[in-house]
Amino acid sequence: MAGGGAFFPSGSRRLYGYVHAPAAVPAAYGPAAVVFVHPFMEERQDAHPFLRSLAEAVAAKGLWALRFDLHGCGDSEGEWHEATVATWRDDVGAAVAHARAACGVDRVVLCGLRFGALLAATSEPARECPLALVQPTTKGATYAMDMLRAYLAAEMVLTKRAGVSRDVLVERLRAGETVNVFGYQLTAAQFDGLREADLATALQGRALPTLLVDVVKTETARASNELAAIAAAVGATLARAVEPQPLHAEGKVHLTRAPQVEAAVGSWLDALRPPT
Amino acid sequence: METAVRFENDVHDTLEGVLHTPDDGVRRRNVGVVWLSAGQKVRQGAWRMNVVIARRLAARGVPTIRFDYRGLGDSGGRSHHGDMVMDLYGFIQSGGFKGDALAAARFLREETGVRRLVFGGLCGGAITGLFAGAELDDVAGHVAVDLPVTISSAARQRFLESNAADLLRARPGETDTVVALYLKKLTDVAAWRRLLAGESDYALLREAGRQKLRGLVDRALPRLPTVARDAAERALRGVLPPVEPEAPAGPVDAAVAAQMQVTGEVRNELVEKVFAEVLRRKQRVAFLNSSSYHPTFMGYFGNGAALGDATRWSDRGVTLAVAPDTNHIFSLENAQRALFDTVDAVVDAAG
Repeated sequence: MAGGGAFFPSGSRRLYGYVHAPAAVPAAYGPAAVVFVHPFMEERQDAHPFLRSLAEAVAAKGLWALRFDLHGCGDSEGEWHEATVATWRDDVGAAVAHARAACGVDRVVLCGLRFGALLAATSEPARECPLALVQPTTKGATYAMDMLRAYLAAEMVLTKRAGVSRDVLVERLRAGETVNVFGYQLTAAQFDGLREADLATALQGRALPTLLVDVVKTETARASNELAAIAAAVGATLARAVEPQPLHAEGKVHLTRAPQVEAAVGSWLDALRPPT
Repeated sequence: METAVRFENDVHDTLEGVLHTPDDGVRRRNVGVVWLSAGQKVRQGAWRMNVVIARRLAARGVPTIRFDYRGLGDSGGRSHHGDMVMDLYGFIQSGGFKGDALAAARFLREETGVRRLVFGGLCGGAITGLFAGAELDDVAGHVAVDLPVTISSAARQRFLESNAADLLRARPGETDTVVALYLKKLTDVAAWRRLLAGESDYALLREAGRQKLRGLVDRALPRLPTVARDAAERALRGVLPPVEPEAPAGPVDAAVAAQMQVTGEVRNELVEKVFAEVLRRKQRVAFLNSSSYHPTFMGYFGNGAALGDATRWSDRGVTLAVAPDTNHIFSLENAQRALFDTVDAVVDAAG
């Protein structure tokens, strides 16, 4: 496997994936692959440079890296509105299987950003894979309501007046309508699936290595109490990364690397040891 | 059928993309589309619009390629645009990715055998298509969505950010935000202390006030009799700011152009050059503007005299449409329909 872009199966669908082949330098962790789970909607587009640079950094450490697009996202088959959180979780499983087959490794680490991190943590492979969660969404319920807020903000910018409330949008979803969030048609099934996901619950009782990366903009920014509490409760490694540019949103600078996140994930990978 | 593809550009960078070809049983047409990304949003575009468009075209028998420019997305190479996003925009607006678009056109022809091409894209994609089309003879048409007609630069952005009064003069629409911020501070003791100590940004406050007053006067003046209106205008001259929005609604004359230079906004003359060349080569152009962008397009380009104004374009195979109540990314349903209809019309006209 030389690396590059290709489609691979996930059930009856095909997903797009990009494999980064490892450098000749052997990884401290031994032969393994890191599978990256992207954030959602426009965050996926805006996070692309960051995820690519992180995958390249992982490959430079001697590990395989697979970036892939979930069902109805990026270049993968299907339309956004057809997907559910359950199908996305299945896709994580398919990507892990593809990484094992294509890269010839047994051990896989899951690495996610934002809701991609929460999706990874709530997927089936999380039961057997170490997890590196960068700036994870902790509560799907809050995240789902943020999507509705995004709809309202976009409407207000365009019409110059406040539109309907979020409660009305929820009623519309319940009535079978979709809500256009920056061009993506959010469905009731997706809304409910997002709301049910919860990081603290997902990680409860977890014994496998877990890294939580708290990303802040400045040295003096306050740490996330929520992430600290979750890390303490499950014995996860908590790292802090100061990144002045947003990892998953348009900024003034064209982000090409997030050095502190790279360092946090890299040193955590180095510290992992093959299971005995 | 969608296939992950890679090809080389003129400087041997490997570009990554997806080729959409008609499924078996769909009549394949002789026209192919190079759908270009805006730049920052990589090859899928905002709300995956590029994927949706390419799939619709393939279902209509039209092979379509979309890809990442060098140094962006999954593609190799460096784009040489520096770190600032505004400079990336400027790089694209000056034809920086023309070579990549030409390489994609060559690849599409070789892979699918199509004889005629259509270039299309939003914003940076639109202008990249015009630059490429100006060098080819087998291009039937262009779909130019929110074609950028000015040159962006980080220097301009920095200038405006560090000169708040100039920012408001260039973008009066942001005055309300400044006023709202000051109103919020009315009950803030520390803000009053800063104001009385002379530590506040008086220039910004004064300019915000002048802009608000200008708006009030502009609304009130038309209600006055002509004589009174002229007298009021004379009395206020020099007191209130002139109307000089960043997106002028009318023709750009020399005086206004000079003012644009002062505020850092520069009309992109390269657009006129490539537009002229594209017309000389008898390529059709369908401009589609969002309502939010249309005034800028008209002010800097559509009303221009060099090539005849927009009202005379139809004789030369050029159409101009505006999608009402639309943002720049065409994310709302009515905007999406307008976008799809425009693409279909250009491709159908191409054969």
